[in-house]
Amino acid sequence: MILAVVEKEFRMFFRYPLRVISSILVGIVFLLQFVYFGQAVLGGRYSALLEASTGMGDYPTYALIGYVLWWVSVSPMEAYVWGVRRELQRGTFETNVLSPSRLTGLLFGLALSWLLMDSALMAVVFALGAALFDIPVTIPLLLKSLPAIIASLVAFLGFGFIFAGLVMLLKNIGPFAQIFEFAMLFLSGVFFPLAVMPDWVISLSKLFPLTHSVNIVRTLFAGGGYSDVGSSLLWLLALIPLYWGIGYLLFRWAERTTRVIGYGGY
Amino acid sequence: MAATELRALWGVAVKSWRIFLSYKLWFISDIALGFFFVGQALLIGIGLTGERNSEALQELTGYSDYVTFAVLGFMVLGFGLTFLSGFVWSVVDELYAGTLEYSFAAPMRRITFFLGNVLTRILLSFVYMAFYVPAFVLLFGLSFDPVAFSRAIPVLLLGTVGMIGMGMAAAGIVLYLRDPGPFISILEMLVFALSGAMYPVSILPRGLQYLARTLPYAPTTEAVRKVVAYGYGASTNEITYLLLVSLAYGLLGYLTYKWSEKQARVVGLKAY
Repeated sequence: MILAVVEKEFRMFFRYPLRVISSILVGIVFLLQFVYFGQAVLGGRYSALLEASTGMGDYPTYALIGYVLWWVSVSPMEAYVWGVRRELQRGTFETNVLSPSRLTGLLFGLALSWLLMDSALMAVVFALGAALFDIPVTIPLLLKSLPAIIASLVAFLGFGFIFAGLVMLLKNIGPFAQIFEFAMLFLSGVFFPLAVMPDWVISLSKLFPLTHSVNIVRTLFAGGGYSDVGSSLLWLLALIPLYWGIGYLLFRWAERTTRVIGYGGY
Repeated sequence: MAATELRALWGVAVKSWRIFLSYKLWFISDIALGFFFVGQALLIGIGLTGERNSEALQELTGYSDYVTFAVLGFMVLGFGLTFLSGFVWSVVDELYAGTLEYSFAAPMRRITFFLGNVLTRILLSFVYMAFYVPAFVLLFGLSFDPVAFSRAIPVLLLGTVGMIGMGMAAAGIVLYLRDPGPFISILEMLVFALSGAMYPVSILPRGLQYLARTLPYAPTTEAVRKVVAYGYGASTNEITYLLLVSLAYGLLGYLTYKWSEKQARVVGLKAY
């Protein structure tokens, strides 16, 4: 059943090739803004200050890794917010709910399909970014990063699940989700080192899986190993069950509530 | 006749305004977008250089204060996108809602429909600017000189002619696309990337530099920045070039729009 949802979403997305091109272009342009701005301010691509605070001094590499992981991290959230809203607007959500399948399965399928589609798009953006900014990427390096990336995807799915319950209760949480997505850029050190932020923000940032994901992958790209990021790895692994648990409990509560007050109708 | 058109214009603008305000959280989200861009600019600058000013940027553009540089670019881009978005999204929103044919069949000129939507966005753009400028001064230490900034208004208006022209041309094309959403996203992203809002165009690869200078956005941004920093005397070249580009786009937009209106009478609009 989950695979059927994934197949439906893939078919809908890839039906319009211009939509795929547009998504890749949106992805690359957004990245260029900040990388070129950083380079214009730096007068080059290397920052000694960045290296001192993060272990990676090459700004395009730093930004590219952070940006691609950020995009994928907000993907499940977007799936719940926009995917469910789209079904609510079309009037097909209630029909899906009545189908002989569990709602959690339907929603998980939706989030998984968006995560996979965005991962594919971001793989293209990553390749384009690496070519454009002359970033050396090797197959062994990618394979080495793969376990961390897979763990990150599982964590992102759990984190996004929190929004599944919210979207059923509230009519239009798109703007709220957008603000939250932008806030993640600040709270996880995507385009700048977290060292410039106040201590309380640095402490808060540890609660987001993205912070640890970008730290692990950047360290691996800078030549380090998993032993150098033990703390981030432990945080990431601990956040996976935590967010899945919170998301599930919130969803069950939202499901019970909507049986009484109904779904956010359109 | 003129009074009737004005009433229709007002009606479209009010409708558009009401739709926007029906989801008030969008207003907050839009405002947050400005803080997001300028905040990122400030933190990237500090995170990479540890300084509030950049010598490298000074050499490239004449601006050492990268926050002021980004704010000016962001404002010109925000204002410029008003026209492109006003023209194309007004068509797309109504196409998706299935009300475009009704709106076009209403007893008003088609341009009135577009301008009504643009009017709302211009108003919003001014509301945002009125909010941003004092907030950026307070939060990000933006160096704001009202005299220098007011010098840029005529230059911005000059660029507006070209930006309206581009919006009209895009609206003419959008009418004939089956799924215009991706086309508009691609167009907006091209404008975004080539506007020089966050970085000087000269940092781009040469091919993209040429492309950026053939659109009305980057020449407007460059002329505005130069006039604010150095005055009119030092900006003659930028203003002359902007004048040429703006007139060309104004003419192109008018002709494309007239052609699309004529075509619409023959082949109809794309229905949803």
